Amino acid sequence: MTQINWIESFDEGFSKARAEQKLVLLDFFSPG
Amino acid sequence: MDAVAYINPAVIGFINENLIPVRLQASDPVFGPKFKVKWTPTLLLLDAEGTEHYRTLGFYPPQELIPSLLLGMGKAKFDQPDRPAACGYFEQILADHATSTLAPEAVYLNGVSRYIETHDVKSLIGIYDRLLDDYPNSPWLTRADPYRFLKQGS
Repeated sequence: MTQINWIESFDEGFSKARAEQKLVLLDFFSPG
Repeated sequence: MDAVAYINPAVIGFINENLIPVRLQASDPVFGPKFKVKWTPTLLLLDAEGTEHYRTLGFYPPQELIPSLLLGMGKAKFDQPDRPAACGYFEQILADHATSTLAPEAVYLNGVSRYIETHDVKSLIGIYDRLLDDYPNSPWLTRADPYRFLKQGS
């Protein structure tokens, strides 16, 4: 694993969280 | 976070294995206001229904980010409530990250979780004793101060 597998879609992330029964780590960031 | 914590192999492995990592710009017109994001980095732990269980603001070095996330995962279980599972996360912090700044809060929440499950005041006394022994300068010792008086009745 060389990088975090970030998902950039809110809905896709929560769909995956439901499927895998995991918590979502939601990172709000500022570019740059 | 990108320059230090998010390129750390232990952090990468921990997040990919245990969480669903979602990244949005703070300026996102929908989710920024929805989650009241005012500054970055803001990290949230949410369950699959979108309920917030943990929030951090500001940068974390790698050695602090993992115990911080463990604390949040424990809080999510505490809220559920699945306190035995919560204790598992808090004890993992104390076993693997005992020098973390998050460890005193883990002591506190671990003892509280045990007390709720057992109603044994020794769990609350244990919070005070361990904080006094291991983390005497932590503000969490102040929060646990009343528990020392329980020794008189136990």
